Amino acid sequence: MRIPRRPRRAERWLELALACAGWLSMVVVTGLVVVLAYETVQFFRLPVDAANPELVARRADLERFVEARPDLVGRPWRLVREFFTDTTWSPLFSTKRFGVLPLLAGTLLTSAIALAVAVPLGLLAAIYLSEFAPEGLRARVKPALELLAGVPTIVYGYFALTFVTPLLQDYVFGQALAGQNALSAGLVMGVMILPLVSSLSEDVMRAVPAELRQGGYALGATRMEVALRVVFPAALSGIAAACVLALSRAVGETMIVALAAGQTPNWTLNPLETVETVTAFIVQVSLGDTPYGSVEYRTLFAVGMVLFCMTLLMNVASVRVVQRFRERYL
Amino acid sequence: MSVRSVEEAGWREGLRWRERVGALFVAACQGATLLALVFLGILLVDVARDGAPYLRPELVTNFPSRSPHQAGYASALVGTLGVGLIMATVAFPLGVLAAVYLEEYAKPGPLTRLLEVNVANLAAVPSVLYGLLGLGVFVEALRMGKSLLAGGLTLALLVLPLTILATREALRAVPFSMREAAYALGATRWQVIRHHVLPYAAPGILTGIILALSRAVGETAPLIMLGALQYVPFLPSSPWDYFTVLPIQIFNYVSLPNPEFQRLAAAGILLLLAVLLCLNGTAIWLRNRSGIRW
Repeated sequence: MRIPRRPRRAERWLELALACAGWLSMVVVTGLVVVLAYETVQFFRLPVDAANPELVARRADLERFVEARPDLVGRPWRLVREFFTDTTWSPLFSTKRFGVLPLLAGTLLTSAIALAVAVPLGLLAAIYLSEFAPEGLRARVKPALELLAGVPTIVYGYFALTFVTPLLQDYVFGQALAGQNALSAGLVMGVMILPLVSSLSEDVMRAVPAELRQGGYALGATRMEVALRVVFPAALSGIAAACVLALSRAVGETMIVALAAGQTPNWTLNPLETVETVTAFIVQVSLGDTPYGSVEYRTLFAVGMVLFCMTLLMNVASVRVVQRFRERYL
Repeated sequence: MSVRSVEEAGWREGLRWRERVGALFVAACQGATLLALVFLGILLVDVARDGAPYLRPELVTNFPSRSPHQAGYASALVGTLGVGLIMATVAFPLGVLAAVYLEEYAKPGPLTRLLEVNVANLAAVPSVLYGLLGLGVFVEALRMGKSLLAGGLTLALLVLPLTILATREALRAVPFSMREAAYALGATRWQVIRHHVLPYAAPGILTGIILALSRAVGETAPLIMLGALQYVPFLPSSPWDYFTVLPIQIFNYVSLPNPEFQRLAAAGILLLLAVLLCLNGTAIWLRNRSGIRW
């Protein structure tokens, strides 16, 4: 009988390779943060670069910047203040104002509409699937709902632009509704994130122990009362986390809003108007020519940093919500 | 009539009322579920109706053109294939290895915990930001230009966390007794993983990989940053070539004012959905074939 040599030495190297692969995700996150942070600093350094005559002479985009905004030259802090407080965003035009608030308003508006659709419908669907639907039906309907999340977002964008908007124009709002508007983008986006709400919520509601339901019935509650006053509160932490995750998806969603909501920054909360979201601006700039280091290139990353911070905050919040409000059952 | 029976009559009346409200509530729940499914149906029917006239062989053999009647998706299809290939060769081995490390090797502790949180957060980063990462690192810093290679690598970063999460799930489903049995026969750690854990987890891993692949195929936003070249009238022949992919070509056609191009976009969507259907069908087939129940 041949006794195999023990391959311990080789396994050390293997283990090392595995660890490297494992830590790769750390490298990706670090890379993402470093790239975003570096270029964001470069964005806020624009006024400093504009104060350097040699640089300005070499670069046409800086020259345009100096022409448009002589008041910013040499004053980076003024740009910082403008970025967070000004209500006009026009870095691609000759006026060049850098207030990010209109983009944030666009993102907020479309996401709010999406949540207004996804949370009520998603929760009702989740309650139905977990509490009322017969098992066979549930097994068929749940994957069908999840199909909604698997459709590429470009398809939803097409649908919102060529079907939902004309429909709303013809039957509800008439010409008061702009061809590209926050409403239809938000509505369609709501359907897109609906399965996120319903699937996760259904999972946590099914995890609520049957004894709690039986206790409710024993006290004479109806099925609806058990669903709403026993199961729902018991699963609340998971449901809240699902809603926050859905919000974060809506905020980061790009193609639907780029197609259906529009590409004109607009400081408004009127859902019938054209708005531009943070993500749609990134797409708009990328469609044009953005040489490395140009003003447009830097705005991309500054705006991307804002988006990154928002979604990170939400993801952390959803984890916190679960930890804080989780009910433990033995 | 005694006080008690009056109370009971009131309670019965209340119960009838409560049950009626309950029935309404169930109807509302059913309605919400149905509404979502009906929406999906309308979406598919609408796209199919718009795109049907353009479903012809030229759709996949012709290059983009100024005339909608001659335009097709040939370069986009090949681009999608190329990007997918590069992505798959980079992301999937790395993702599986990373998951094996996290699940089988990493010692529980704050560092491992950090790594896990990190992967979860990475999976939730909006896809446009991967585009910015690709633009900053692959296109500019590594000087790959707006090429097929940069696109594939960017998508690889995007699907890496998805692959890791799916693979871990599959590894976790392999019962511990399997590993213990192998150890008892003298296998080393890697032998246990290589000969026992991975083969049993393979169908689950493959399913996860295919789902990640289908997510990447439908992804538009990050690739726009990496050269959404509107007009690519040739097939990419090397990883350094310019490229376009199906969703971007669709986006391009939707944005054109001519309504004929929107029909063409709808036909492209049907093409994209067909590709996704094949991928997901394979995933379901794999899942059903792995009849192992522990």
